Amino acid sequence: MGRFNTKSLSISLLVLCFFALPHTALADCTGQQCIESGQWRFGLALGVGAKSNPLVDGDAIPLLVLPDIAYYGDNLYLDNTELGYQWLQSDTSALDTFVSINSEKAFFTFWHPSNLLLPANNAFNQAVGPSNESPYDTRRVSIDDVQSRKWAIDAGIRWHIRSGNSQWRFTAQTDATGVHHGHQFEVGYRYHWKWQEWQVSIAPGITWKSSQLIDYYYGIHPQDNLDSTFYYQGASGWQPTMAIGASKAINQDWQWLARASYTWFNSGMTNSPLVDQSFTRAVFIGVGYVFE
Amino acid sequence: MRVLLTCLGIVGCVLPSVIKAEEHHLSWLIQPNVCVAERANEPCTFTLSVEVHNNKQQTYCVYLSQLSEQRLFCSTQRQLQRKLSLTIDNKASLLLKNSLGVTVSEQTLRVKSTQRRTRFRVNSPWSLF
Repeated sequence: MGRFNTKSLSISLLVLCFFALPHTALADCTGQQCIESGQWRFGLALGVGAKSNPLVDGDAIPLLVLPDIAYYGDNLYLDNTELGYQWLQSDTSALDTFVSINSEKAFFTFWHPSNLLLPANNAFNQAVGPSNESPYDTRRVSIDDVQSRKWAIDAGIRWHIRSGNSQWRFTAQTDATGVHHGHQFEVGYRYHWKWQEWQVSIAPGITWKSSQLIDYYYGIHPQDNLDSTFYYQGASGWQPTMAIGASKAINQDWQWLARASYTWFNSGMTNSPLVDQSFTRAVFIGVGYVFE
Repeated sequence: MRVLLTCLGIVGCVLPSVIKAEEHHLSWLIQPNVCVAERANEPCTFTLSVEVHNNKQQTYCVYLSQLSEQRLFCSTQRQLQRKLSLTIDNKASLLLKNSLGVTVSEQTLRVKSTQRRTRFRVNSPWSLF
């Protein structure tokens, strides 16, 4: 019941944000979300944080050293794990097509670009790791006991609508490497403002993931070499997300950083014996440096 | 017919020389020809100096050409130096025209910005996780 209320609250907040529709003022490219065209950006953040892993025997992902790598040319861009091309760009809207590394793999392996180059340890698991709550039944299958899931690269298209301090994003992406054969569609909203010397942002969103995508990563099938009682067929569903971030300049090069996010998973995923938690949460506090 | 063709040939040989001579007798110097703005893609206002040498004291006019042509001033003075305050965009030029309205010289005026060109990132920074 508690989980249902928080999910309802998240969806309600998303609906409220939907009604805060863009007004006519043009958006200015100032602050954290801007980058100088034609220049590489190399950033490194040092701090303390972790991202919980919802999978059985999945280790929490430590967040101690975070990179931020980006390059934006006239139209081509690289933004961390995403390579894309902007067909339209203005102060109020943009249209991108891109390829990016699918993030589902991150829960199965340590060597995903979103993970750190440091081993996990029990301290993180205790802080944000799997809880004792088992969503629906007692069947639990460790990720160490199933066939390894493959990397996947998705191809997608995204449309941005910006106005003032607001931005809407509509993203559709599909498997480009024939791994999971699935799709996902995301609606995201971001609002940023200045509070004293802090740049603060809040970003609710919701993602629909297809059954093929969920099933490839969280389903259990004969190729996993388990008893048939553990077989599971993943199902599509909606996954709401809420993220907040804050930054404050220390000097010209250094800044304080704080980020937190929470994602709720759909039952088509959490019913899987591989999944131990119905959510993932992440938090990071530290300092960031941008090399120029 | 032979006389007519001869006359035409003489005119054809002399005319370019006449134009060249005119250009030599009417010249100008414009400084500066670049306007520096704080923000990109906005009109820029600056003062420039126009110095005209008009050896034959013929009538000439100076025009500002942007979306349309705007006559700035005319003169017959042998030597003239004038300061002009102009507001231009990135596609402006000054034209020096003779009494027949023929452009004898053109100077492109450019706008440069001190503002770095920035773009919106498609994702928030530090959002790798």
